[in-house]
Formats: sequence, C-alpha cells, structure tokens
Amino acid sequence: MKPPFARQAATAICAALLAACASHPAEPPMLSLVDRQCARQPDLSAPKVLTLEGDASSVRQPIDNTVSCVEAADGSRSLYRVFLLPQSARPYMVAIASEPSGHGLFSPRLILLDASGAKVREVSRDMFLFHGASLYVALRIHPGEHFLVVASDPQSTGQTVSQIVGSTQATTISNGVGGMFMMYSGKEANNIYTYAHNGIVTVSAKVIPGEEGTK
Amino acid sequence: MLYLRAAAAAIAAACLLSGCAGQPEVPFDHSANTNLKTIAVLTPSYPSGPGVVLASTVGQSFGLVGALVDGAMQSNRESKFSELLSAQKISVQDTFMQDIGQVLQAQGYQVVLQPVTRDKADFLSQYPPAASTHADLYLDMVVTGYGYIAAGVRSSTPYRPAFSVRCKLVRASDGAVLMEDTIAYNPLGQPKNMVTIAPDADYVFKDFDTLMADPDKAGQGLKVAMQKSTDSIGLLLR
Repeated sequence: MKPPFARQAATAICAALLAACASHPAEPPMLSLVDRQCARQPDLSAPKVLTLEGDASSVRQPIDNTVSCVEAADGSRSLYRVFLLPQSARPYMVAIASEPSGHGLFSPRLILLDASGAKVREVSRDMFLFHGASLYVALRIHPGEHFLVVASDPQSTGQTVSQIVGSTQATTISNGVGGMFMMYSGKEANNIYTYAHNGIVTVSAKVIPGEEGTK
Repeated sequence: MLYLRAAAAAIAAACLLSGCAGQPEVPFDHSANTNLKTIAVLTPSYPSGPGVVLASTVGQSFGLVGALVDGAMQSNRESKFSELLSAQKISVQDTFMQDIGQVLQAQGYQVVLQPVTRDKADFLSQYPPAASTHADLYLDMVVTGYGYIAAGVRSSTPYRPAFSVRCKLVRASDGAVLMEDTIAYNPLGQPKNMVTIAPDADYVFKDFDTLMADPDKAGQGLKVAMQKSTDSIGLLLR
C-alpha cells in the first residue's frame, strides 16, 4: 500500500528543509600550493577596507583556493588576503584571529606595508597565541602602516596541535511530578587541528583600551 | 558558618580556575619601547591557597544544601592538596617569581623585585614613583587561581592542573598601561579575552585519590602549568 500523498509530500519537504539546513562542510586542510600560480608580490589593488567604527571594524573572511598566492624568494608559497588599514590620528590596534575550520586551522603570519607597498614589518607565526581554539595576535599600528597582509605560514603548515578542553553544561530535567531541576555535567574533548594554508580569519580594528580619549 | 564559607570559596575557586572572561587586552609594542629595559616585578597577588575544583557535581542540583556539601568536600580536598605542596616543598610564590624572572631575562630585560603590599586581589591603583625604584617598567600580576580542576565527576573528566594570572605592564615614568592580558592554563570552555594554554596531557589524574597518591607528579603538573603561563607572559612582552 502506497503512503498517502500528503505523507509523501511532507517527507519530501522535510528532506528538502533538512538538506537546506545542513551546515556547509568545512574544506579539508590545504597543505600544499604546488598547483597554484603565485606572484612574487602581493596584489594590493583590491584590499578589504577596515574601519575603526561600524560594520567594517571587524571583518571575517575565508581564506581558500579562490584567494591569491604569493611566492617568496626561497620558493615557499602562501595564500593571503590584503586589508586596508584605517588612517587615523588616534592610536589604535588591529587584532587578527584564525579560527578552526573543520579539522584545519589557518596558520597565519602578517606583513605590514606602507602606502607604496614596501614592507614595514613582519609578524611571525610564533607571535600568535591561542585564545581558545583560535590563534590570535593584536598589534598597535604604527604611523605609515597602510596595508595588512594576512598570509599563510608555509613552515608550520602540515603540523598538528592537540588541545584538551574541558567544559560543563546544565540540563533541565523533569522530576516526574511536574517540577524541573538542573542537572550539571562535565565533559572533555581532545581537539586535533592541522595547520593549513586555508581557513577563516577575523581582522578587527579598534581603539586601544584605556586610550579611547587619546587624540 | 564554616560550611557557608566553604561554599563561597568553592564558587569563587570555580570561577577563578575556570577562567571567567578577561578584561579587554592591550597589546605591547616592543619596537616602540626598546629604551625601556628594566622591569620591576611587583609582589604579585595570590589567592589564599590552592583550588581543587570539581566544576560540575551532583550537589549543584540541590541548591544551598548541595552547595554546602560541595563546599565542604572542596575545602577538604584543598587542605590535603595544600599539605601535598608543602610536603613536596613547592612554594607557588617562589616558583612563580623564579619562572617570571627567567622568562623576562630571556627577553633581554633587567629584572628587579619591588616589594609592594596590596589591600585587595587586584592590580595596584597607584604605582611607586619611578625615582624611588629606578625601573622603566612595572609588571603588576594577580594570580587568580592555581591548583587542579576536573570538568566533572566521571573518570572521563579527570583532574588536570590549572593556573591563571592577570598581568599588566605599566610605564614607570607616567603610569601608562603598555600591556594588559590574562593567561589561563587549562581554563574550562572557551573564555573570552585571554591567552589560553591547553593542559599537558601527561599530568592527568582520574580522581582526587589518584592525584594524592602521586605527589611528585601532582606537584610537577602544577609547576609545568606555572612555567607555561610565565612563558606566555614572556611572549606577550616580545
């Protein structure tokens, strides 16, 4: 006996809704860029604009196979994104966070350039420290620093990091006589991430805490 | 009254060791301060004793009575762990100061110790005049918790060492805050605004009895937690 049409339709709709709700699977960690065409200098023609206030003060961007690649003199390659820094007389800082994407974690390094594209300073991968599962660094921006290049670090790509993380949760449970109570429990996870050329970065510009009034 | 105090201590310790959200972080700009070479490490603030925290217990489901029971049990664990540290001749204060001194010297700083008294477990509200200390920088630190923490009562959530410290670098000449951050070794969950360090997998105890049965390892686990935390302070001051 065939199921009624209404039930078939409901099943199909539920399936479609579930498919639509399913989260987009994370890209696997990208560990090699041998098949990429890479320039010798980063392309500064279309930077993502950062501002000190408003929506553009924090920009979350994927770094994936669609972004550009740069090759260093030693032949090492990196994927990168370019950000245009706010030009402000007020002292400010920029925070860069790389968050896990599946089992991959974009391994970042930074290059700061002046308005002509000349390198002013570099921030190496080991300046990034963990904030939870994310790699994070914050910098005070110097006068004359115009572009921020967030690039993958080829030396650390492919290495893994293991993080044991404990957490607690509270669950509301019925006591069987119409009341509820909270049950508390703990759990541990061992998260293993592979440092990769791809991932997700968030770059935020903000006034340095405690110096909001400084001009 | 004793149990009430124990319950309050349990709540405070759980918060401190679990790494409640830190203050907004201020990054240090070493390249703009290369002329500042002498750091006076101010006597840090420490909690009154170690914390040995079960972050989730059955007692938490039973209101005040449960909190009292948990508090009493935690107080008992902490007394025993404090005795373990004494028997191992581990002074958290001495170890921490030794570690921080080594880390700062490795970063190229000259380090002096500047005794201060604190009336609360917080950063100093006023710093010594630079003329009296001859220091370029003051490192002000508040150790907010140390000891062991387990996420829950089951063997799948064992005790692991924990340590947390707030630190602030202040320019001696004008009191400007050049760096401020919080470092948490083995915090619970994903706390905001702080450097976090995942625990070393070697130092794990399925329950408190197992921890007490291996005092060498238990003490060493805490030392590693302190060392990795001070290493992070050094990294923040590069």
